[in-house]
Amino acid sequence: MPDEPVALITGTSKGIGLGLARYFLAQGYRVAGCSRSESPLVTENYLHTPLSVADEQATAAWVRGTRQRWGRVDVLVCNAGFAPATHLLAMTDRQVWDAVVRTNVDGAFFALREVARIMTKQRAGRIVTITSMAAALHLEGTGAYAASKAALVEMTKVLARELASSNVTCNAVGVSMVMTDAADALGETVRARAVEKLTLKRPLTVDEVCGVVGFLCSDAARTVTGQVIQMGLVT
Amino acid sequence: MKREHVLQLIQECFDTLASSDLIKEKVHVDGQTQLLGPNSLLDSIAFVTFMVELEDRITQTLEPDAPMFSLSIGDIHDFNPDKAALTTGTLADFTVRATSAHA
Repeated sequence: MPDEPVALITGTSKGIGLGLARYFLAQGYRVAGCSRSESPLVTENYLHTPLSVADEQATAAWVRGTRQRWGRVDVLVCNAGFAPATHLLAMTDRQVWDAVVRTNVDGAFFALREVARIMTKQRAGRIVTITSMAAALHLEGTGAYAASKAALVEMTKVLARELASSNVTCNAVGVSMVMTDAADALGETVRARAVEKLTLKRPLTVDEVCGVVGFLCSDAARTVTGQVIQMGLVT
Repeated sequence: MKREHVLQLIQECFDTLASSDLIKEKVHVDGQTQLLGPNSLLDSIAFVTFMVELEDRITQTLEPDAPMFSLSIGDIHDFNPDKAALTTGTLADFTVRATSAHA
């Protein structure tokens, strides 16, 4: 069985997730990605599974199947997320709320639970969740999304405590405005307002996000756990 | 899969836990050995490791193309209702039924 490390990344068909898949492949990882749609990435060490992370059985099967195929799981990046168009909480449909929670909270939970079991047995691993400045800024119109990302941060911190003795680190990266399809869905007004709220006053690039995630998955970050790295933002 | 075979796999899991220092000493498993409950020898990390180890060992007994066998705490709880402890015997009985359904 090859010795190359294995990274699991959710939401790899586009945006940050696609960038992360390319980043880890370039670092010599075998990468298993998933998303609801197909991936444009076709290469020997990349395995794509079309699925919704909100599907508990499909997500569990994806994690277990990857380990069965490649024998190990070194990194999990919970990136898949759903950012709806903004609504005041008073005008948020139940369907929108459910869709956000299913993808951003349930989906992360299903992947985290499976990988936590594997990494506990391995007594090694790196977990990074992708959260958002929305959880720190409390912007109007982001009620469902911000609440879901705050839940993800809390899950990450609790898991960091639970897995610390197993040599597994869990951290969150709070991305601010990255120019992706998900950011487009927020609309011009919200995007401009979000950038204005940032300390850096500019959008992030996918490469910048990959650099921070890569650091947290490196041996240099072996003592960093339970942290939220906010990018472009002083909280 | 027979109950005795499952208990043998459980014994091997305990041996692995002992060799990796997740439990202090070797344990001779019988059907009354507690996995969860007041007299369990396993802390939470050792219990998770034990469950994954058992899933792996059971999977190795299945057909090569079979999906990984998995144990659900909720299903085990439903199989063992209103009990303060989970014993290896109960887990073995559950596993016999679950592997039969998995096949």
